[in-house]
Amino acid sequence: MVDQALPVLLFLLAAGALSVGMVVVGTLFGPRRATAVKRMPYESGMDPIHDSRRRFDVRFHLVAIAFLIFDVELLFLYPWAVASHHPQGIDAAIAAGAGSGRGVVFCGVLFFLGLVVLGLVYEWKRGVLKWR
Amino acid sequence: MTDGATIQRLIPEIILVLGASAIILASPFHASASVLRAAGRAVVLAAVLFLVGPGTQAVLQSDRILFADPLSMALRWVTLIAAAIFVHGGSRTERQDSLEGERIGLTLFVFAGCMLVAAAADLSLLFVALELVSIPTYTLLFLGRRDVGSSESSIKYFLLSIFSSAFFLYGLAWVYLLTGTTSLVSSGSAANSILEHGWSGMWPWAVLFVFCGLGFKLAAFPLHFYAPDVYQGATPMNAGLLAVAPKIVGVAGLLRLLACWGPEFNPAMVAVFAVVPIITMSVGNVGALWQSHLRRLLAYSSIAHAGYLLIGVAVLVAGVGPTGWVDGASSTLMYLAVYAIASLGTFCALAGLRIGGQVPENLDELAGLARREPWLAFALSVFMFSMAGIPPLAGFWGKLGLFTGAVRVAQAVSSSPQVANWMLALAVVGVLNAAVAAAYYLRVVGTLWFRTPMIDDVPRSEPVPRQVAVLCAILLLAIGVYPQALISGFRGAAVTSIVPAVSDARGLPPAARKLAEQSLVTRLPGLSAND
Repeated sequence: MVDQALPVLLFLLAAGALSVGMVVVGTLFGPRRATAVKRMPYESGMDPIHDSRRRFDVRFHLVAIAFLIFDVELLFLYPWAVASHHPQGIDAAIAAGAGSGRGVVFCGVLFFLGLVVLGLVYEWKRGVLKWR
Repeated sequence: MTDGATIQRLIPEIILVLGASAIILASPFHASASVLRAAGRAVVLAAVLFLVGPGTQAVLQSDRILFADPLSMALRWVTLIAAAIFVHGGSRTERQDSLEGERIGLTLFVFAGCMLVAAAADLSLLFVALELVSIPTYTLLFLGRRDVGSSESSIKYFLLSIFSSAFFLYGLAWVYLLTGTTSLVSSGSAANSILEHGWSGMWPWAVLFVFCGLGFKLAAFPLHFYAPDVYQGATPMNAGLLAVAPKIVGVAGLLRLLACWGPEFNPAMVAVFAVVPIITMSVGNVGALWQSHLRRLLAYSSIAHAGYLLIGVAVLVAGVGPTGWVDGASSTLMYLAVYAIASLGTFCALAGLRIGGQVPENLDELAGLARREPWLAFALSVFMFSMAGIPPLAGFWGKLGLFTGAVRVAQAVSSSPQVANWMLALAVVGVLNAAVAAAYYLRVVGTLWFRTPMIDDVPRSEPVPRQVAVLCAILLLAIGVYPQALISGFRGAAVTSIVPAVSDARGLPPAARKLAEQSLVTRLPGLSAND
């Protein structure tokens, strides 16, 4: 139990020490010449205080969503790719009676890929990928 | 376990989902709106045909991810009928643009999700099905936005709904923590053994979290605040979808979960389940009295109806024996079916109306509608009378079943005066609320028939929504004249689905169970009020 949790504990300690240390060192040794712009809350270079109904460019968000879909697709494909060649993977599960064969699993993954491709076709036709 | 039989049972849902995907995908390829609408109707019709096919079986198996019992079939039928009304009646009512396919497809997704919730026998499937209802709803609300107000209502619904989903998921996580299974059937018996071997303190909290998540869907107090604003900002058809689909989901989820977990709740828990409908009814009805905006009024009315629906759930929770369980579940189902028809009919009728090219927003704009649109005014009056519970209409039988159920449980649990008092309070407050509600429903009817129009322009209706509204009104009249078929159908569903589930969860011996089922089946043909 302890030897399993030790790396996590070390990681937590290191991460905590690093983040606290950076703030402490920065406040101790950093120059402090505040201007009005520097005192603003930081938000990716945008003016953070304005009317919340202001229009903003959605192109970035559309690309981000499209990226997320394919990100999730990869998350699903990796375990399948690993399990199909691992001795305790798909073959073992089928032998234990969990499914009806490799072909079904393969078709399932292909079906999933097909769904994602259809999504791509949709957003292509809707002009999401066009940088206007 | 996914196998051929599971997939076969899911054919109606699969048809809906594939059809919806095809319609959405065809939309950017410049398919004409009328073709897409026809495709939407064809998909619903195909789903209906395939739901007719498979028979039901009442077995509750812990290794299944789906229930194929009469309760799930009853709820799937209610959903599909609602879907048919919605897809047909909602055509040609919204803003015409290139996004018609998306609207139809997303609506089909919502109803497929409702059907899956009714059939889900696994906690994770249940959650995914709930999200299949919620996420397309967000997009639909967003597509219907017109101005700052409706944008605000979309974002309000989106944020609050994901908040409630988080509550629900947290509750399910606790259930999994306590029982170690995601199967609904085994989690019920596991829950009962937890209650015997300590840990009992955590169980009611898990149930409460789940109740909160589903209570938001129903718009039950104290999670009802979003409803008036969101309905006001939404288009009439979107408001109709919000008034019906989440109610079906909430009732399906509550009945199924409470039946499968079936532990005997302590009086404090019964009090929670009784106080919520009492306050919900009162808040909804009193709030509706002051409204002049049509959809705001209907939003408060839908809150009140959530309260009535929860009376049946409270009866199920408090019921000490099979009679109480069956009374609670079947009267809730009956009320849900009648409410869905009346509510969808109302919103279809409102969506089809145009006054100066605009959808009427305020009740005053409907003044004198009966002169120009007598049939539509007739249909709207039937919906209002039915929702008010005036005797010859279907809504009366819905309310009667709920109130008699509460009174009968109050008499049956005389050993526990606290529970009996709560049940009596439910029935009394329910009746009082029905009287308060009649005030604003009759105000609508009076506006339609007896008031002179304030301006020269009187609204006109599109033909298809008018036909659908009149059809819904005839359906309500027919159910009102001959309610036995529907009532005994829902009672049968409750007897074969709810009673075995609760008995399994409470570990009743098979002999006692058999006896209970037989004694209930013999009483089926009669009305609950007569025996």
